[in-house]
Amino acid sequence: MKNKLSTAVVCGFGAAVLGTIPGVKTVGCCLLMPAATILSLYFYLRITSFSERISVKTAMFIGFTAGLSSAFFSVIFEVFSTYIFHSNDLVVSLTEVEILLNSYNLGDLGKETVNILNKMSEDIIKNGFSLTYTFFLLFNNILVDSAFGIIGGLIGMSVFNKKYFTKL
Amino acid sequence: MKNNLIVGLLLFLSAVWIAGFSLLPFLPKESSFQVFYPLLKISYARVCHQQPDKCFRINGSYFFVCARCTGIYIGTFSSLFFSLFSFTKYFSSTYKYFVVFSIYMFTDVLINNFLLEPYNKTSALFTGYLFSFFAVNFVIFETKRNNFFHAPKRDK
Repeated sequence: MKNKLSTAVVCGFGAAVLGTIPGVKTVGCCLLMPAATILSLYFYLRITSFSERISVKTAMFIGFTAGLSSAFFSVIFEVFSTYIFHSNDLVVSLTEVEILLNSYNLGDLGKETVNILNKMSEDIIKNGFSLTYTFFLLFNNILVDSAFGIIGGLIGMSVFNKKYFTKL
Repeated sequence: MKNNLIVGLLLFLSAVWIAGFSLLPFLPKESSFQVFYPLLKISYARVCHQQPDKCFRINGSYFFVCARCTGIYIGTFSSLFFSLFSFTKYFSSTYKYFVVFSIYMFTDVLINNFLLEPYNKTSALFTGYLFSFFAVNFVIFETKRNNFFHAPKRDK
């Protein structure tokens, strides 16, 4: 259990760090999180001395934990950098989004959406922190990262079981 | 039957995911669904760089993911779809294809990002599609071998 958790948390942290680097994200794209999980599965196999096949349950658990770890760390990094610079992607792209939504003539619904976005942006510019944005980011990252982590876990399980535990 | 249910559920989830990043450009501009634009853009930014020159543009709006990611997700969907049919059980070993198309895609990533100017969206879409199609096929086969889908254990 300890081996599974430690490898997953370490690789999740690694994925969160790499995700903040723009150049890496351009190349890694949506494969960054699965790649981190595959690496954590490999570390798990190394720790357990390649003693047994990886089960689906283990692969999914490690993937899910790596995803959770990545989500939490990436939100911490995001909140920290937002607090320092009083700006983030939302603030930068707000004007463009506002123009776009206004051009769509969405009526009250559109205005309400722009108001919510403006409120979040104002909080960030003024205090360096928006509770609504942070909650949304955390919820979104947990959902997306854990799903991609599980996918990575299943790919890693398939590759390592085939490579180390099956006669080709 | 249970296998098909699990695959069907995954198929539905992948269809929802694909609709999320590609549906808005096809909807009329007055559609109330357009209010989800900022929400979806931030959500998909978690898994893609979203650089406009690398994304497909339909009716003046960009997809929320790049061409390669579009290919990867469509490949996942079609692989899951084909796995519902019984003839795919004859694809007994897709490991080699998975390795070959992984190398093919990563070579394309390097060439497209560092050598080619402008970015070739078609090759990105194509290599992404082939990679994920065989990756998902391989994963389903190996997961069945691990008894997750309650299939009989195959020989080692």
